[in-house]
Amino acid sequence: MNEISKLDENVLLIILSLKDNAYIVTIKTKLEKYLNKNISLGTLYLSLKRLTRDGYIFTKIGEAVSKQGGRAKKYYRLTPSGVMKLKEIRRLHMLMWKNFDNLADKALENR
Amino acid sequence: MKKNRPPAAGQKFLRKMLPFNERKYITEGLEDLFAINLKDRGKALTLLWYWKEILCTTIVMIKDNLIGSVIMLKDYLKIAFRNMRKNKFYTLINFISLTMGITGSLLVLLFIDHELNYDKFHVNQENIYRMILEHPVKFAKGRTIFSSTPPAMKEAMVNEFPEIINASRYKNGPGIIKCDNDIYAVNNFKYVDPEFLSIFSFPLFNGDPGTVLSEPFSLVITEKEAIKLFGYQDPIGKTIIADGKYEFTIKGVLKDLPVKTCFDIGFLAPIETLSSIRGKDYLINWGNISFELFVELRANTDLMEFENKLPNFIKRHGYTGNPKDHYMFQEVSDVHLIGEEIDIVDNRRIQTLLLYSAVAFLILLIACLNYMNLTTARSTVRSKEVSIRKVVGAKRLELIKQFIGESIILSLLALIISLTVVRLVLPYFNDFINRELAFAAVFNAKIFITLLFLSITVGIVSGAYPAFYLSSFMPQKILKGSYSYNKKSGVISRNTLIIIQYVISIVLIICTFGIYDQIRYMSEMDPGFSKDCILTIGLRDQDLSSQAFLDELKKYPNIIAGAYSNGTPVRTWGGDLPDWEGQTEDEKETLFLNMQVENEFFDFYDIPIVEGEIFTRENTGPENRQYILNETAVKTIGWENPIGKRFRRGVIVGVVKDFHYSSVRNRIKPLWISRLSGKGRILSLKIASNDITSTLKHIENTWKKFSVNYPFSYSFIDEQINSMYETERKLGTSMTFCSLIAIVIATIGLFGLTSFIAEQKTKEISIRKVLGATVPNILKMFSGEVSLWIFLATIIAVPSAWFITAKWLNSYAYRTHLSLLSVVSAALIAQLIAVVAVCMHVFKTARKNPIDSLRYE
Repeated sequence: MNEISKLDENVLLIILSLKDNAYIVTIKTKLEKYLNKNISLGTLYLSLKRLTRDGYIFTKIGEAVSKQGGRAKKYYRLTPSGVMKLKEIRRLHMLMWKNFDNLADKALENR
Repeated sequence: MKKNRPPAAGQKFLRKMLPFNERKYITEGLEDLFAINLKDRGKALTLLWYWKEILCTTIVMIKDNLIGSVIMLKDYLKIAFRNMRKNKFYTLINFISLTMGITGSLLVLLFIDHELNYDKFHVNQENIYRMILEHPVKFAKGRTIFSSTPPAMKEAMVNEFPEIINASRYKNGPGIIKCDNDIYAVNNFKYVDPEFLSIFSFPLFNGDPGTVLSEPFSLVITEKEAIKLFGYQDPIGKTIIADGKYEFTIKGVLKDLPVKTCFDIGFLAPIETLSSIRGKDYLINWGNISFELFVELRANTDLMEFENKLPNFIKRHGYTGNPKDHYMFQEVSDVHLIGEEIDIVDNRRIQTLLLYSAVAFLILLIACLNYMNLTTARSTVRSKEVSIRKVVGAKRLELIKQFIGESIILSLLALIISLTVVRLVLPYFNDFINRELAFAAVFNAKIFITLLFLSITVGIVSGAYPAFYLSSFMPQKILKGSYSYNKKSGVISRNTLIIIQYVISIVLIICTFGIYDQIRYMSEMDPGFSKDCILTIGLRDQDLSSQAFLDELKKYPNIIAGAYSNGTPVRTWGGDLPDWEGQTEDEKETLFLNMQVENEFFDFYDIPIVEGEIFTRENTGPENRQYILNETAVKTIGWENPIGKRFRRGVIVGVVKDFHYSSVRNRIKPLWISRLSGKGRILSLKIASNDITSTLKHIENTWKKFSVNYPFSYSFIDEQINSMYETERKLGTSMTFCSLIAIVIATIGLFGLTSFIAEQKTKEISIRKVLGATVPNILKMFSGEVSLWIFLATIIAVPSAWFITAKWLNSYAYRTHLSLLSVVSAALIAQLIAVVAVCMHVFKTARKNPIDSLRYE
């Protein structure tokens, strides 16, 4: 399995959390809100491009709705392998962070 | 709604950056975000946010693109090398021709760089000037410039003009020096002012540059000369004898001069020495303009203004030269390139540079055309690759980039090989152009960048046409197999390229022949005097200029005759602006050359007297002299009956037939001859043509009996005549070489192309053979087409070659014309080479058994 960057990981999680409403505007807004920093459109676009290429997400053109000038949007969804990737990352994380509180406290006490 | 839209320019820019299928969603997304922001933060902040967004996106996209193209580059490189390996033959042809072209240009580039950078190493280089004199003289085509000043001018200028920091005179010194009983002839002994060493950056090994030249008869010597004279002993304090009687003491050693300087210095002595040798007045007069003057000016001096002050200045000081003389400043770095020329418009050095550059450019062009030709010819082979790339989604621009990239790679490789080749041939090239170019100059930043730029340009130029051609293929047609490669346009342009190549080659060949025509014409032309088995000896020693010496020589049977003179038919003695009976104001500035001879001279050199007689009276002084003119002089003056007319301070007694006393490049100029007064400086000897070696030995032995202070040297008249045509001969050699390279490159190109066509037409050939065609039939078929091309090329080439040759010949006063033979033989050579190249290849294919190529399984 390919390593993916922290940004790509976050984008995946955001898309997952947005469920049916993940398109470029919502992804960007939510990502910026969570990370509390500006993510440029280009950065996001390239990340989405990478994830699509690696098969973690797929796109779907939505139908034009009367709201917002009646434009069709491009929605992003996770593929099964995208979900698997997130699971894998989470498993690794859990492994790494196991017993963190305990260890951290001890490290501080020993000083 | 409209108000809430982001700036149109930004949106448009964003669209440009994004791939087609993503544009819509991204720009619309940004539009939505803009609207949301506008609600929350207000107009100004939103706009700020928007542009920041665009900027960040741009940066990210550029980064991404760069990474992408590096990856593609790796891919292109791989494909390029695979292609080269697959088509070794064609690659080799392209490679060889590009290498030849680049090597040629590289040599020329080095040469030009060398020539343009003389005397640039002096610290104050941009403020150092040489005084030059524009001198009105008739019979010169352009301006006439001399670097001559009177000796007193230096002191006066330094005193009067605050613009001058330092000034130094420069004059040739003695020609003979004696050191530990060895005698040397030198031409690099110069007299200078002590300031010379502070104006120019010629460092001393030891000694103070300010004082080493302060006393008369002190001497500074270069390292090279010191080693020659004294071996590895310390030369300081040693003495040498110059011209047999003047003793100089060595006070300092100069580091050897850099190669790129106009100065030829081995010995430097203070110019004040001359007032001890020649008398007190020698250095303070305003009449003898035989000194060069170098000045160092303050930075930012207005030269024009300064030059305008000079006419008044020299007049005030009693300058006795021509009142129309005009002094000017010449930058020291121009001295080498422009120098001192009778006809500055006709500057040979600059012309040679231009000529070499033009020829190098043409050769490079032929090499580029070769590449275009072979690559487009091979397009069938690569059309499938192109189609597949296109089907998979390559855009045309990417394909163009790929093909141009390939040619750039090839030309860069050629550059590397060229560097090696140049390294190897540079010594021979140096020998040929009489310079010392250093290979290390290649790595000088300026040249290196020019080189890289050159080979990349060559890559782009030669790759561009194939790139556009190849990338224009329609994949569906090619992959279906319905595409016809023999599309008319492709064939025509390929023929055109071949024709252009041959036009260039034929022009070069014809010009080369033209040059040789002129050389032959010049050397076969009757110079108007006899030149066989005549040698001249320069006599510096007064003891040699005596009848006794000649009598002693004549005792040897092989020495037939001898004559003393100042000046020989090959080299006149000097020039002046004489006056004569009935001279008009307008004729006052007519340049006459002159020489002084003994009466035997005319018989000796077989120069006929056409009117009057030879000298009847001894030459006793400047008054009442007898003069003999040449025919041109009489014509110039316009006398019908010249005998007895007053000329200078004497009378005309005779007229000689015109003879060519210098290169036939120049028209014969008016000449006056007077009788030798006192000792002659040149002895001409006519010797028998057998056993020349022992005759020379005898002359040398006799010389040694008469002179102990001077080394023996001689030269033959016909050699002197030949050396006048050295420039032409070198031009001829280099043009031969260049046209050879041109025709070779063009021919290997043609060779490659026919081999390809033959490959393509294997089936056609086989079917023709099956139907009864013979090998000669097939050869005729192919070579007929090629002959037509070459014929066309010849038709185009002849007028332009004729024009160029005529233009070149125009600079010769006595010239031949381009002979029909030269034109025809050039055309035939080109035809022959082309047809042979074609036949060699087609022959191979034509001889094959047709079954091999027609059978399917």
